[in-house]
Amino acid sequence: MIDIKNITFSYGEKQILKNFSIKISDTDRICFSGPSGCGKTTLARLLIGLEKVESGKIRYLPPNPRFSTVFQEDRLISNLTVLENVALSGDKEKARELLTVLGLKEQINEYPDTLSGGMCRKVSVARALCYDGDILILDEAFNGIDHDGREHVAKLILQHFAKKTIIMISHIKTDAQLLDAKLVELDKCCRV
Amino acid sequence: MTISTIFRNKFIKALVCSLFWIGVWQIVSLIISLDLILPSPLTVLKAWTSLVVQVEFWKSIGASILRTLGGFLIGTAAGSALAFATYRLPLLKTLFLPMLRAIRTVPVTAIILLAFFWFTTDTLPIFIIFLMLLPMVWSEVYTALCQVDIKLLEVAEVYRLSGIKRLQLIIFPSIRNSFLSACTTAIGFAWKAGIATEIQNTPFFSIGKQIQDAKYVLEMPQVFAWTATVVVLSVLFEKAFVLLVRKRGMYKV
Repeated sequence: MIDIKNITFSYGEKQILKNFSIKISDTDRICFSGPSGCGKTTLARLLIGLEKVESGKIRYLPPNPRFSTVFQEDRLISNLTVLENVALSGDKEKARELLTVLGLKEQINEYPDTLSGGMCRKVSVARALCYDGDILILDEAFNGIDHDGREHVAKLILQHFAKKTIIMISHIKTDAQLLDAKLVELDKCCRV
Repeated sequence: MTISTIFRNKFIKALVCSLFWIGVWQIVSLIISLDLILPSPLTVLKAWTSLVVQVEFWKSIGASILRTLGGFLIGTAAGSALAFATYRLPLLKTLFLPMLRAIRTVPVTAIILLAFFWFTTDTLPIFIIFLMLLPMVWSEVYTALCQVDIKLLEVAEVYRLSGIKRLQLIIFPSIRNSFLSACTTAIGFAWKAGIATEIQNTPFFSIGKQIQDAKYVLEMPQVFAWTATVVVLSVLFEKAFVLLVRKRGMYKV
């Protein structure tokens, strides 16, 4: 369970989050949606622990969970092959399996810079699924993936994180349907 | 075959350029026509051929190579280690920066004079090379470390990669090219600083002592021959390093 209580966060003078609160249960699937700059990605970064809240508290039960994360950008390591990127913190066999299911079997030994944008996105998703995290964070994970691909990727995500928390960040509200997630709309001040 | 086609070949280009400057040297030495001021290339070559048959020549070269390599290895290792330490602990950077700046600005001759009392004649060149390379390698590696993609470090953080894996997969590949280019430059610097120290300090077997001895007896062709030997050694070491690095596939983009 994640208990977010009255958190406030600013980048310099610009306030991103103000007294934001929400409770997320273990098997919840939540999609945070809202206009650009409303603090969706910042919220994800705060959850992962890449940013620190100014005030308020984020409590995890059990504490110190592992996050399988698909970042807003692909963030693939250019000197590692596709397989090595996916198996970064996971099992190589599982990585191979995931890439095969995602239709990237041929690209296993290629380097990220030879792949298309959509392929890189899928590799990024595969990396998150290969890591046995407690919470899955998907920041615009379906960007650049075609319509059929999205459904295929969503199915795979649900298979691997069926009984775990999934937090999705998307500026497209309909993306929530892909994972059958509860839509939480945020306004400019990151208010629910 | 046009001139531009010939110049496309790297070896021919280097050869033609070298021949051009040797020609200039020959002409100037002919104008001066005094070996004490500027011996001709042929006189220097004669002096060099008389040196290479002597055992002392090879002993001096061997000893100077060992000192240069020793200083180079210690200097690059210490510079890199200090770069990592100051990158991790900014307070250390504040502490070390004035010292590194001082080493850079103080003339090498002054440091040689100071360190003369701290080391033996054989080990002083190693210390001076180390001292000259330390700020240079530190600066290159530190700058490269600061440019490591923070987004990839965040990935490492989120996926809980061990320190060794972070170094191996993200940090080393990011700083590799800067480090190798620093090492290539450092080789030239190591020879410069090492021989300069040997000239002042004259260890028994050393190129520096041979240059100094030749100067005392006004054997300028020998001074030139020894200097040319240093240039050749420095270039050879640099080329060998680049070749080794390329062969091991360490230069990657």
